[in-house]
Amino acid sequence: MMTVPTVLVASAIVFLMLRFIPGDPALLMAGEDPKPEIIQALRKQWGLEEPLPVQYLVFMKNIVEGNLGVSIRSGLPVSYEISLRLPHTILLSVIAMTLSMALGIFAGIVSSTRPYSIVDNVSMFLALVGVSAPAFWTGLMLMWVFAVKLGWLPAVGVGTAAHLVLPSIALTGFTTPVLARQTRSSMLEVLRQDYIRTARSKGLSERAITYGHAVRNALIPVITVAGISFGRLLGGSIVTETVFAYPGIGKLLIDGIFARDYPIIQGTVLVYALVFTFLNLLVDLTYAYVDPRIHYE
Amino acid sequence: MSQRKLIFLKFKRNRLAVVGAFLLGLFVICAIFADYLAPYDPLEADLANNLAPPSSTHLLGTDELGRDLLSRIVHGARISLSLGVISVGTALVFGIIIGASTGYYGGALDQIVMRGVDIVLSFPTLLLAIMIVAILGPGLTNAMLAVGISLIPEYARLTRSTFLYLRELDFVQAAKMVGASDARIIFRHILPNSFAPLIVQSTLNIATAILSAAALGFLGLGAQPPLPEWGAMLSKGRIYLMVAPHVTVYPGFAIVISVLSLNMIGDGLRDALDPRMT
Repeated sequence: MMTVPTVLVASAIVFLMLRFIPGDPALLMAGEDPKPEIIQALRKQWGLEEPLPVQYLVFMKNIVEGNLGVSIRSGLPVSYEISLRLPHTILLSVIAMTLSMALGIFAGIVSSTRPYSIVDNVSMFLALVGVSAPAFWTGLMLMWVFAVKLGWLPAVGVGTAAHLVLPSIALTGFTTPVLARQTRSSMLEVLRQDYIRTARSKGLSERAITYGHAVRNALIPVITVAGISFGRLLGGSIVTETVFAYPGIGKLLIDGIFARDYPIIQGTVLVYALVFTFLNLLVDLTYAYVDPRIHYE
Repeated sequence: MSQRKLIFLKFKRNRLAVVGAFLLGLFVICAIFADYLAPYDPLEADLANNLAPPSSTHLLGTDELGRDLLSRIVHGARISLSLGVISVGTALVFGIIIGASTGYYGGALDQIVMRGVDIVLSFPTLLLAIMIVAILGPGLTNAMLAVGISLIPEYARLTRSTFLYLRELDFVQAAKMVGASDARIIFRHILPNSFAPLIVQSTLNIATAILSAAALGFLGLGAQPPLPEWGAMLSKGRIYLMVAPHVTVYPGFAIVISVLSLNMIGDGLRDALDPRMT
């Protein structure tokens, strides 16, 4: 429901981004020392001679056709560059997210069943530390310990499953604590409810109560938080990819910013915007599916 | 016992929060008195002595240009803390203005503005900050601006929901019936009562701001060399990870501890201000 306006607004922001930068957009997109024919061709392709609203329509038309411009640095189409790297980013993000959900939710459940115990206090403190550490630092520390000192895992690049280990662990550093804390507080709320007391008086084992009844109800707010966290994870992947020289779209964006490769910048930001919108949609749908009280027309 | 005293006592009972406050105090002192506390000039290079490991002359070692790491970290506290406070301060002001107007007046304005805010909110803060810096260009002030702008939606949302809630309460209704003007109601009645969640949020946001600014610095988009910003220091030291890990480890520690202290305080404040807990 909100998806269409969000996509429109996001694309409008990306469109405006390029026009806000001081300088002629055609020159910006052409790169250094371009020939006049190239500048003219760019002007025509993006409708830069037309008034702004028309430019926006041309922009949208180009996007729908899959034309995102040509990278200044490599000379290859932006959509091609992105398609080479997007799968890597998605793979990394999905692995990291799954890991952090599994670990975080489990830790949260365990903590909530023993509130204020040593296990609880230690894990919540670790969670606090995890949230305070910058992702690039944890990434570098992991790299130093496991790749440099111990030589167990490769530090940079991609290619084997081993290459994925360090970056995904680094990425989970932030989201696992968030999920753990949310699961814990959510579970604590649920465990106080009357129906849990009823189940207990019926004689059900603690384990059956926890996993059978409590968890299911506690997970609802956790899902929302997970959705937001995935967004943050994608944001964090930009930095993590840079640290590990992992060829995903995050690294593409950063390299593009430094090279002033505006078509790349525009393209990658747009892709990110689309991914987030899609993600939010997914979260909304899951939410509606899981919580029987919510209905969307 | 006054309410303020009660809150203070609740806060004091939370050991983590107190430790956090103590640590933060250390950083604030470093930030203010950096010039007196740092043993060396953070910008003074000593190339013959570069990448030196921690020793008695340089307590934390030297960086790739031979500058004393400890001094740079101490001065970095000033940069990071001011970055955090200024960006959060700006976001606070604008966020409150937006949130208060939409929360109090509601209606079509509310719908449109909040839709916009939601859309911006769906972007992760770091990506927003990167985008803004991509437009404005790298630099410390631009980084501050970028981080500040990326935080505005959160404050707008928070203020708005607080206002929506407070607007319906009896004392506001009473003020309206007596004929108080909108401005008076907002400033004299609603705003003072909405401070609690804002304070908690702000403490936690300063932590986020420091992290975002460090990330920008790490990417080379924030404070430019030779400024001793922690993230930028980490980035420069990265290449020497194998031979001189201390250049990367210690600035990172500084970031972790400062952000941690803020998070501990924020959590403590949240618990202390929560009317449900005794």
